Amino acid sequence: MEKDNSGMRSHPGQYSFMQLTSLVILRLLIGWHFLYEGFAKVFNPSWSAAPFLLDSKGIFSKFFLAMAHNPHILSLVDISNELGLIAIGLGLMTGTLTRTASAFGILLIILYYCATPPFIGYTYLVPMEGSYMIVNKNIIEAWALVVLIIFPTGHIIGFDRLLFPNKKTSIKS
Amino acid sequence: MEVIRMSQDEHTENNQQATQEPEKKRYFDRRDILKGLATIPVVGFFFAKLYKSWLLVSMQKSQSERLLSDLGLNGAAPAVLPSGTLKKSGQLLRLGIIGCGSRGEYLLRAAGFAHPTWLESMKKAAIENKLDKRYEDFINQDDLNIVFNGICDVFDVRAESALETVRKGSNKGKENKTAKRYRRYKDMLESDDIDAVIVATPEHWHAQMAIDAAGAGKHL
Repeated sequence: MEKDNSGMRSHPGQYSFMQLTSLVILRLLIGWHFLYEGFAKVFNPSWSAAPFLLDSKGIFSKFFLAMAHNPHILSLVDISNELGLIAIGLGLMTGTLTRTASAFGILLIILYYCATPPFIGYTYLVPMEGSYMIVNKNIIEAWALVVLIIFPTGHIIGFDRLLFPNKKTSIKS
Repeated sequence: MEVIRMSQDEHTENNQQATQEPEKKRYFDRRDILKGLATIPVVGFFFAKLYKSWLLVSMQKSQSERLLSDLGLNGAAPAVLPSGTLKKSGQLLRLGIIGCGSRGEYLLRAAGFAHPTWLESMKKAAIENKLDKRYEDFINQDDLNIVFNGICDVFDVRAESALETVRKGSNKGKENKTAKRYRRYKDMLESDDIDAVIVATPEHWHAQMAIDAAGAGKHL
């Protein structure tokens, strides 16, 4: 890290206090959402991704329908979805492997988006809680994770600081 | 861009760090531990709330289990009775149906009686599309050893159609020429050749008809 004579950090990777705080809060909020989505599914023994997958529309619908129709793949999808949501949530909240967690989070959300894209003329059995045309909350959350990858905070405020002690020296707050 | 301001203490500390860089690097200082674990209180808050929500879920679950056990419904019953478990008593069950609209027609089919026109169209559909199993499924339905001796509907078209259905629409090819049409369900309930009735009327009639059927000694 370069420091100028005034003691101010002028490295381009430096965040101001407000920037860092808002990025960490964004990370916590998304992590919280993922974590609870995961636990809510675990708490509900009758939960399955099947109704969601069966309601799939669009060009990828065949892929998602095939998932729902194969009981082995479906149980795998259910378990990996639950565990994936919990792992990503914990990763984002504690700042552990933050960028990996964000990348997997984006992947999951993109899958949800592709399964039930909010395109014009598509209607779903479970009505959405808002009105969306192409852009929905999923895509916004995915993009927020992209922002968190580009502006990482786990190595400043998070376990990553302890896991990868060498990295913190490059950008330190 | 606003740049983070450092206190004088931090500044000197960092200067010290710079001088002791080689050994310091291997250890975590207090700042690292604090910042590394800074979000843990939020995680703790999350799990405290999660525990509360879990308690609520398990309470609701035990409540519904208690309700089911009070009602004697907690035993795991098969959703579909495996064929062969139904033993024929040999005694023919004589039924009547009140209401022969779309639901009545559907219930008659489930009992093994379909209108000849429906059978014909299903037969045709099965020939056109081999995956269409509706005809085959209907023909293979178990023989429930029942007969419909009465049908009741105020609408003539429905009543005539249902009468034809129960007279010659059995999936096992059985004919029943004695089936009668009633205009008033109470007349049908008084009839001696009916043991039980199926109610397929609009909902607001269900309670009254069920009470009347029970009063007349008919199964429902």
